[in-house]
Amino acid sequence: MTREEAKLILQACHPGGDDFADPRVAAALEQAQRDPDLRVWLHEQRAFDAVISDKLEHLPVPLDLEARIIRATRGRSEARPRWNTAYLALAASIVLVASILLLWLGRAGQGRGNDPGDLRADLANFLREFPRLDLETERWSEINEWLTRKATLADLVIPSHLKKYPGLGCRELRLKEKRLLMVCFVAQGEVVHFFVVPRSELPEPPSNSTPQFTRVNGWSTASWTRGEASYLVLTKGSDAFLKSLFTDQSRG
Amino acid sequence: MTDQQLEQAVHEHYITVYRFALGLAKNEAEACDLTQQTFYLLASKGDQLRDASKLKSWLMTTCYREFLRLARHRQRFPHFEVSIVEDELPQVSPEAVNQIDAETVMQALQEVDEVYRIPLLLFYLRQHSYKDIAEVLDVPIGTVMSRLARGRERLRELLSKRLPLDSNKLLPFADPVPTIDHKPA
Repeated sequence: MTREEAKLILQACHPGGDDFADPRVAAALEQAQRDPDLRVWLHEQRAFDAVISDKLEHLPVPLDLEARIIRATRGRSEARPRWNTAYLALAASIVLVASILLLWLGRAGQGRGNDPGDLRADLANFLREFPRLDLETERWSEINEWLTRKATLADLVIPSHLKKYPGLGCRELRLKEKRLLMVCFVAQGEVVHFFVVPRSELPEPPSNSTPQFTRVNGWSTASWTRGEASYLVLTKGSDAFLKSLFTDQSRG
Repeated sequence: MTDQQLEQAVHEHYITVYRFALGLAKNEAEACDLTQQTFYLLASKGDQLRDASKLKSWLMTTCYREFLRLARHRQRFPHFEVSIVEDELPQVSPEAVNQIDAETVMQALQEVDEVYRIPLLLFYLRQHSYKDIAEVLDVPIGTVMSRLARGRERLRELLSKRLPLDSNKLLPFADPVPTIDHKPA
């Protein structure tokens, strides 16, 4: 293996740890024995890691935290974590607001056009509160399974480089008689909502096959069509942030 | 899980979970809430954990998922601007980092993009193996390796900006610079 490959493997291992049973690790270590520069690099790397670990191990911890945890978990029916009640109230209010919004959208949408710009505006309204999700998960393996079950489009493609970000979940929704699949994830601190709709449901689907960017009602949006699917992406992040998601395909 | 088992689990792991939560959340109060919620879930669902040796990974995975669940409802995550480093920068030495206090090291770590920060936290806290990290984050091992490498690069850069002014503990470059012998004509 090259020196760079050996470095990539060795920097992920702890000295004397479980990883050393891996033959690749053994091979990289053997190479370090033969290569003085690699050996020096590894020594410095481990010294750096040891200092960082030591610093983190000495981070102060609130003195009463252990007691608070034990009080909160003992008997579980009392003393729930303080934000859990707030979380339930928030979840209930989100469902209520989303229900009202969907009812309003259903009435307001009658007679409106099917311009993709309208759809983006409708989605921006829909997203005023974080939507309820059918599946809450950060794992793309579970999101992909859900999409496979739900999607009637054979050529649905979520750009693979977006999957390095943690997922939030997904939902199937109907909006103005259109069936959409929504996938949400977090990138660089911003929540991103990724929608897929069959192009046949849009009288004027986006004609471009690569993302086109516009702002709609305070949201940065991107839209494109590929094969039988049209894609719409909305985020409260800046235009530059959204564009960077689609240009930075090299970082994994 | 009995109360005694739960208390034992709390005693053994709460500090590591808290330090991980502090790396995820933006402040001590949120980190405490996140830690408390993690163990609350252990109390509620701990019976589902069949293999006691997996407790550490289970706690870290749960803490990570709860962090995402909590942040989901804010629609934003604690995030710091990350400058893209184009040029090779001087590498900060372990001796130099040793001069920096733990809180400053954590602050630097919190500025690393979460894609790289989370694997780094798991690597440095309680020495998770790259296979453990891959399991917690549900990503391939190769992805863990590259994220650790990139995260560490970024952390070094951020730490180099926090060195004491009189520090001269910078290494010129990680790799030796090739030299050319000039023979006299």
